Amino acid sequence: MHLFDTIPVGAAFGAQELHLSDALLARWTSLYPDDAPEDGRMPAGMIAVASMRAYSDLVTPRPPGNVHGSQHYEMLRRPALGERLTTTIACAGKELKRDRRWVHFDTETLGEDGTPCFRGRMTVLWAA
Amino acid sequence: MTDATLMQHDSLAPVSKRIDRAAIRLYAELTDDFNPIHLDPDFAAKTPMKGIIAHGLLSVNLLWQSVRASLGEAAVSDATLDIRFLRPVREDDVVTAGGQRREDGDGYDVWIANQHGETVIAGRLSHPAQGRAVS
Repeated sequence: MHLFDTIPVGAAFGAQELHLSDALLARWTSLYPDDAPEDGRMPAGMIAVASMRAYSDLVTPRPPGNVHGSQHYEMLRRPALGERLTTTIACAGKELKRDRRWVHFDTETLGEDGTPCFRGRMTVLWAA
Repeated sequence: MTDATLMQHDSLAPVSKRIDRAAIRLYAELTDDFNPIHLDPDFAAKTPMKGIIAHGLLSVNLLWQSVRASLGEAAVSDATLDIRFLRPVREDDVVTAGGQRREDGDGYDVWIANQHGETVIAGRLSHPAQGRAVS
């Protein structure tokens, strides 16, 4: 279990692949019908699918009840539908403020050609 | 995106959505985020949130949609978004995203509010590659 006291700052948790498949897009647009892309590129909000899957699947196990506190996204290019993305995630820091435990994670998502598509920093209120 | 495009819009078009249980469940599946604070009423009731809260990023997509509707697809392709989650979004809340061009011309102040008019998410959207939109 990655507890606040033991989660290693600077640690890389690995890489997660995401295929921007027709099936994935269909699920996304079932939730957000207006996001059907007109330009053959990933809807911007799916940046969260890449970053959160990396967090959810690689930073494990986590204490239940963590809460997302803030998020920074830097969109460099929207990848094409059908592209296979690779997202890495690392612990960028942690701090205790007013008895609240905050953990920061940096993510970077690369496209099939190895060029960056987007970067992020998420700050999470850690439950334990 | 050109600076001229940005200059034509002082505000971003509002986009709304009801965040119901089905939406929360589907977002959990899309993001692999099955944190019980989003899905388990009994667990969530015992946390400081005192009940189910939606994933914050579920609502943030409305911001991207608002930017796209107002400024076009290109405006989301080179954007930087900084947001803070200020209040929880509850099951069946209706949230609305929007934004206002900053007086200093450096991007937009953006927000998401619930049906009570409370700001639940706030932040800033900018286009660093474009420089300052309005001087």
